[in-house]
Amino acid sequence: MNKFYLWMGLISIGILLGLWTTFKVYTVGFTVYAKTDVLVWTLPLSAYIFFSLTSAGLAFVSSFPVVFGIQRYEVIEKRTVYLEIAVLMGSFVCLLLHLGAPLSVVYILFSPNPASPLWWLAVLYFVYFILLISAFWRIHTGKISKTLGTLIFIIAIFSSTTLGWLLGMTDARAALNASFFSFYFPLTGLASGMAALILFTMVYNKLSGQETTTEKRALFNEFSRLMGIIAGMVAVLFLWRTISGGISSTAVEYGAFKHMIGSIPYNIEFWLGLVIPTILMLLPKIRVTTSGKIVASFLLLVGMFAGRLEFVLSGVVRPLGQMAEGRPEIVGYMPTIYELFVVLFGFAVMLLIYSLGERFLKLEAAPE
Amino acid sequence: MDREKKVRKSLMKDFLGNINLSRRSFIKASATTGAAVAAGSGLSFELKALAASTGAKGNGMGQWLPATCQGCTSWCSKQVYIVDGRAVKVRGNPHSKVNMGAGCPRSHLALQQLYDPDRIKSPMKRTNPKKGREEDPKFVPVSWDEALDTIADKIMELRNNNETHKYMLMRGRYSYMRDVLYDRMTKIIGSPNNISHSSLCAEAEKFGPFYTEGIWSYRQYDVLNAHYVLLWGADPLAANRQVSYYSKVWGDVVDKATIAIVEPRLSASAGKADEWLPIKPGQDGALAVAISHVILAEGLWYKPFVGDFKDGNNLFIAGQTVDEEAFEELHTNGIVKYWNLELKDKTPDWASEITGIPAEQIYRVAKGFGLAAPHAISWLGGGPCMQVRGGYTAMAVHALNGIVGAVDNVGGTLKANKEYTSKFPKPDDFMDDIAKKGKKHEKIDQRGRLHIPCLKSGKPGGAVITNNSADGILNDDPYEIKVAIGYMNNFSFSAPQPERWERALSKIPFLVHITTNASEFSWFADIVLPDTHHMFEKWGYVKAIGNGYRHVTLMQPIVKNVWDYKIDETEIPWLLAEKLAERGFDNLLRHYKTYKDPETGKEPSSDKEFALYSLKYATQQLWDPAKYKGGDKFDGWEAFRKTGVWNSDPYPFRKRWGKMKTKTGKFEFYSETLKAALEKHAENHGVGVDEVMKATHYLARGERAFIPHYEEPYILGDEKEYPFIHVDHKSRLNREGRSANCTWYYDFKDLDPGDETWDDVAKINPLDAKKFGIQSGDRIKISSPTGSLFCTAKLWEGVRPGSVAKCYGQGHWAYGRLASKKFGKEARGGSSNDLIPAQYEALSGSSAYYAVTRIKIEKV
Amino acid sequence: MPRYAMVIDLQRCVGCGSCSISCRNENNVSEGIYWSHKITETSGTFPNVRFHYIPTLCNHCTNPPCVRGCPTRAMHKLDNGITMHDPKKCIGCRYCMINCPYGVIYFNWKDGHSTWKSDNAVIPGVTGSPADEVRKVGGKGTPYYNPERNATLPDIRPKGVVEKCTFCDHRVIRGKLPRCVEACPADARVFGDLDDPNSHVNQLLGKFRPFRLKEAVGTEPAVYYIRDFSAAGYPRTKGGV
Repeated sequence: MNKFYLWMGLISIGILLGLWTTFKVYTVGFTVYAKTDVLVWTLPLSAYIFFSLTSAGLAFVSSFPVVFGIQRYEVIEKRTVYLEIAVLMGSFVCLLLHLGAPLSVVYILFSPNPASPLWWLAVLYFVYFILLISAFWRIHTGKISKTLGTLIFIIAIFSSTTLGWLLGMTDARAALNASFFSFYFPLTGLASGMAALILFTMVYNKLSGQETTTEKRALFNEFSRLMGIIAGMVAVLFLWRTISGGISSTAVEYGAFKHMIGSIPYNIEFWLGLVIPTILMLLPKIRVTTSGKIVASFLLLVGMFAGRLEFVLSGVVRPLGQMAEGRPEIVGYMPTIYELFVVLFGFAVMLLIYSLGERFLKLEAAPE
Repeated sequence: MDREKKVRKSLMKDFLGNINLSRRSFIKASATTGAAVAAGSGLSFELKALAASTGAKGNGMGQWLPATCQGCTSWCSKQVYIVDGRAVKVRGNPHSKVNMGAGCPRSHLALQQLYDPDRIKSPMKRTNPKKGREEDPKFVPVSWDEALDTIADKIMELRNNNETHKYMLMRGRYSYMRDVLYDRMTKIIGSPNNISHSSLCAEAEKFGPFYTEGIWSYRQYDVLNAHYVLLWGADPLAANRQVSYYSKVWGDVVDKATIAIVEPRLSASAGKADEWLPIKPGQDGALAVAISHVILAEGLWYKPFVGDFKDGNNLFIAGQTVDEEAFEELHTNGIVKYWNLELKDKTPDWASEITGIPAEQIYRVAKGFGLAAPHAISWLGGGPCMQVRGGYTAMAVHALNGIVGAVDNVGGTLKANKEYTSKFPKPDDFMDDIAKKGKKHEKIDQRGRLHIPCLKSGKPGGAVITNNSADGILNDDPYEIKVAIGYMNNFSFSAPQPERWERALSKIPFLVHITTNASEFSWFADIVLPDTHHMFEKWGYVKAIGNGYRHVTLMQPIVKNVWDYKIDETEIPWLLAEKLAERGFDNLLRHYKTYKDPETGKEPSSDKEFALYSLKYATQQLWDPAKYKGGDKFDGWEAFRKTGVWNSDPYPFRKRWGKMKTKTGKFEFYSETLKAALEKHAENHGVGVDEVMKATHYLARGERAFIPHYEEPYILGDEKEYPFIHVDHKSRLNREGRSANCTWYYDFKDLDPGDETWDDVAKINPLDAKKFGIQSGDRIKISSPTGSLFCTAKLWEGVRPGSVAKCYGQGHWAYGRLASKKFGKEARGGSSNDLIPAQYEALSGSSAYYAVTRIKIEKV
Repeated sequence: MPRYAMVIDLQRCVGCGSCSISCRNENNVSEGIYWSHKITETSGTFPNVRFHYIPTLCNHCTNPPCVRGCPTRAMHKLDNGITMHDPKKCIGCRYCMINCPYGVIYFNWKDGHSTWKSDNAVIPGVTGSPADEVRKVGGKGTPYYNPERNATLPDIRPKGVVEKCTFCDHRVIRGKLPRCVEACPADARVFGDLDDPNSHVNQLLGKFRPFRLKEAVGTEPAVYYIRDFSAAGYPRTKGGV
C-alpha cells in the first residue's frame, strides 16, 4: 500500500513539474525551450514521436490475436490495449507542449487541409484514441471486438507511415526526407511497442510476485526473441541509413545527419538501443530470465527515445536558407531543464494512467 | 551534446542550389506566364495604378511630412509618415535633387531615437557635488525655470567678475541655426570660446582641396559621367556623404566606370568595386604619388587643363629632373616642381614595398585612371588624411584630380553649388566692453600655437582643434574654464583618448549639457537640458551637396512632443537671454529681437516665435518670391515649408578653371597658398617654416613643405609590444555614435561587412589570428599605448594581415539601457576612441583617427 | 487577378539593408525576426577577397511546401500569388518552418516587442520607461507602431504562431508597392505582375537570364534575381599551368 502511494507521489512530482512548465511556457514563452529560430523541433517533439510510435507498436502487438488470429496472445490483450492508451496520452502531453497555439487545433476540423500529412496525422490519432477507448471498454467488459481490433491495426499502420510521409515530403531537409521512413517508423515503433509491453509486464510480474503460468512464460520468451530479431533488423536498417545518407551521400543537405553520427543520441540509439538488446535477446540463457528481458527491453526503449531525438535533430541542426546567415554550419543543441520537464510530464502522465489501470482495472485478466 | 561549431564556407553555393539544372523549370514557368497573360490581360491596370500611386498620397491613415535627417553628414531631405501626431515611417524626400527620394538604412533608426525610452523628460540637476567617472551624479528633475535661473546666475557671475572669457560653448551636431547659440550668444556674453566638433570630423580632408584649388569644404562627385572612380578610404555606400545619392546611382556607376578602392579593410563600397587595394594603414601618400608618377611618365595627364611640354615630347622620365621652362602650364601651378621635388623617383616598384600593393596593380590602376582623364575621380575620404602626417596625403590624393583635369569638370570633382541663405544679424552692436575685452583672449583649444597651426582657409589659428581643449581645460592653459555649455556633443565618447575629457569635464565648476540622452558627457554636468530631436521636433535648416546640386532642407516640428523638450539652437538661447535680461543684462535678448519675421515684420516675443522667425529670416531669399536669386522658386514660406527642400541651379562646369581661390588662381601642385599660410604662421612665432614642420611632426623641409608628398606615417607604439595597426571604421547604421540605444542597430549590425549582430567585433585576418591562437568568438582585450577596450574577436579575410579593424559606435557606458551594459557603469562593447591617442594632423587641427596607433590583443 | 512577383537586381543592390529595416518598421516585426533578410559571404583569401550579398524574403512560391504541409490552411495562397498566413488558424506546429527551403518563416517564441513592456527608468524621475513611452506616444507594442498593417494581418502577431513576409499585401491592395521596394535607395527591387506582358518585371525577366533560389527543389519562387552583386572587372587572362 505504502509503496503505491510512494509511487503515486513520485508521479505527482513529475506532473507538478510538468504543470509548472506549462505555466512557464504560456507566461514567459517558448523561450524556456532551447529556442533558436533554427532548432524549431526539439525534445518535446521527439518525445511525442517516441510515445506515438510506441503506441502504434503496441497496436501491432494487440492486433496479433484479432487480426492474425493468433489465439495464444489473447492473454496479454487487455494490458496491451490499456498500455496503448496510457502511452498515447503521454504523447498528447508532449505534443500539446510542443504546439505554439494548441487551442487553434479546432481549425483542423474547420479548416482542413487534406494535402497535409500533419492534418491526416491529427485525424488518425483522434480516431485512434476513440477506437482504443472503445476497444478497451469491450475487453474490460469481457469481449474482444474483432472489428475494433482490425481498425486499430489499420490506423496504427496509417499513423506510423503517415509520419514517414510527413517527413518524406520535406524536400528542403534531405536528412528527414526519405520514403524509407514509412517503413522505418512502423518497424521501430513495433520494436519499442514490444519493448514497452515486455518491460511493463515483467516489472509487474516482479513487483506483484505472482507466479506466471508456463504458457505466459513461453509467450514472453517468444516475444523477447521477436523483439531481439526486430531490434537486429532495425540495427541493420539503421546502418544502411548511416551509410547511404550519412557517409556516402554527396548532398550538402545531409550535413545535419553527418553531424549527428557520432553524437551522443546517435550512439545511445545504435549501441544501447539496438546492438545490445539484439545480442541479449538472441542469447537463450539471458532471454529466458526476467531480468534479462527487463534490461533488454529497457535499453531498447532508451535507445528508441534517443533515436527519435537524433532523428529530429538530423533535420534541424543545420540551418537552412537565410536562417544560416550569421550562424555556424551546425547549431549545437542542449535541452533546457523545461524541455526535460516536458518529457518527464509525458512519462508521468503515462505512468499515472497505467498505474491506476494496473491497480483498479485488472489488466491481467484475459478476455473471453 | 556535441557543440562543435564549424565555420561555414559554402553558404551561398548551398543556398543558390544548382542554378544550371533549373533552366528547364524556368522556361516552363514562363510558358504558364504566357497563358495566364492571354487569359487576364485586362487586369494589369491595377498594377499600373499601383506604380502611379506610390509617391503620391494614398488612402493611408497618415501623412508624409517633410524633414531632414542628420544621422550622418549626408544631410538628406526626408519625409516622415505621421499618424495621429506619431512618427511611423521615414523615406527620402522626392523633391530633393540631391538625394532624389533615396533613403538609407540608418534613416529608419531615427524613429527609435525619437522614441528612445531613455530620453531625458525634463531638465535635471546634479545632486552629487563630486564629479568623476565613478561618481553617480544623482540627477534629480528640476523645472526649466530653475535650470535656466541657475545657468543665468552663473553667467552673470562671470560678467560681474569681468571674466566672461571663462565661459565656453561646445558644439556637436548642429544645424545652420547654430550661430544663434554658438556664435552670437558666446560673443555677446564675451568669450572667444565657441568650440565646435569640426576637427573631430574631417578638417584634414578639406586641407587637400583648399591648398590645391582653394575650397575649404567637402566635394561632390559627378559619378554618373565618370569613367574611373578611385576611392581613398571613402565608403560612399555606407559612411561618406552622400550615402543615399550614391546608393541610388551606384548600380549605374558600376556599369560605366572602373571603381578602385584604397582601404586596408574590405568596406561596403569595396564589395562593389573592380579593384581593392588593401593598403598598409598610413601609406596612402606613397600610393598617391606613385600613381601620379605613372600618369606623368606615361603622358596621360590632361593637357587641356595642365598644359604640355613646349615641344610635345614627354620629358617626365623616371629619375630625371625636368627643366621648368620646357613645360607650358595652363590652369595649374607647379607640375614640374611637383615632379622634380617629389614624383620623379616614386615608381610603382618603390611604392609597392611601402604600401604592400603589388606594383602591377599600382601600374594598372594608374594607367586606367590616367586613360579615363578627365572623367576620373580621385575621391578623398577621411582615412588617408585624418592621420598625424595626413595633410600632405590629402593634397597628394586631391592633386590627382588636377593631373587628370577632373577638377570642376564633367565626370570629376565639384565644389558646392551656390545657395542663398542669409546670415543672422551681426552681434557687434550688442557686445559691450566686457564682451569685447573677453573675446580678445586666446581660445581654450590653443589653436595657432607653433605646434598646432590650424591653418583653416589659409589663416593660421583659423581652425578649431577640438580635442586639444581638454588639455587646455585640464592645464588651465591659457586660463581656467568656469562655466561651460555643450550641446549635442559627447566629447567624452567621440573624441580620441576620452579619459582626458572625463577629467577635464570633472574639473569645470559648472557644466551644462543640452542633449537628448544622458550621455557620457552629461555624466559630468551640473545641469542637463532635454533637447529636441533634429528630425522631428526642431526648427532649423541644413545644406548639402550631391548629384551636381545643392539643397537646403528644413527641419520642422512635425510630431507631438512627448515630454518637455526645447530646441537647442533657438528656444534655449532665447529663454536664457530672457533670464539674463531679468538680471539686468539684456544685450542678448535685444539682439535676438532683431530676428524679425520677414512676412510680418514682427519681432519675436517668445522662444517659440524666435525659433520660427529666425529660420524664416535665414531662409527668406529661398522662399520669398520678391527676393528670389536662383534655384527652386516658391510663392512663400508656406509653400517652402510644405515641400521642405530648396534645390540650387545645376552645376556650372569648368567655370573655375583659371579662377580658383588660390594665390595663383590656378590649381596648385606647388601650393603658393600653403606657402603663404605656413610662412605667416612661422612669422607669428618668429621661426622658419622648417621649425613649423618639425613642431607638427612633419618630416618635410624646405620646398617640399609646399607640395603634396609622401610622409612615413607617425604611428604610436612599439611594433614588438603592439604587433597590429589599428584600423577604425564607421558603420552604415551609425547615427554619429548615437544609434547604440536602438535595437535595430544591433539586430542589423551585420550589414557592415564582417560585423556580427548583437556583438562588437574586432576583425582580424585569420593568418594573424592563427599566430596568436585567437578564434572567432573569443573575448579579447585590445590595448594601445593610451588605453584599452574589451570586445569579441572575429576572423575575417577582409582585413589586411598586420592590422585589426574595428567599427566605431559601440562602447557606451551611459546613454541608455541598451547602449551601455550597465548604465553609468559598464560599457557594451568597446569604443575605438579608447585606443586612439589624442594626436593631431596639426596643420588642419584635425584629430588623427587612422594609422595613429599600434595595438595588441590578449584573450580574456 | 495579377500574379505578383519581384525582381531583385543584384548589381543595383548595395547591400545596405534598408529593405530589412523598413520591413521591420512597416510590419511591426519584433526583434530577431527577419521577414526581409539576406545571405552574405566573404569569398576568397586576402587580398583576393570580395563580399557578396543577396537580399532574401519569402519567395511566394508557386509550389509552396509550407502551404502544402499546413494542417489548418493557416498558411495559404491568395489569388494574386501571395503566400499568406492567418495566425488565427495557426497551431504553432512549425511544420512550415521545417518545409520551407529558404528559412524565411519565423516562430514567435515569446510576446512581440517585449522590451517595450518594461517599467524601469535608467534615471528614475528624469527619464521615462519603455512602457511609459508607448503609452504616452499612443503606439501599440512600440511607439512607432504602424497601424496600417492591421488591415490584413494582426498588427502584432501573438506568441506561439509563425509569421513571414506577405509581399506587403496590405499595401499592394491599396495600390502601393511593398515597403522594401519603396525604401530601397538603390531601386534594386522591381515589383509587378507576371501576367502583364509589359510589366517591368517581365521586361527585366526577358532581358536578363534570371535565377531563383534553390530552383532544383521545384518550389517555383516568385522572387527572381538578375545580374551580379559584385560586377567587378578583371585583367584579361588565360590563367596558366
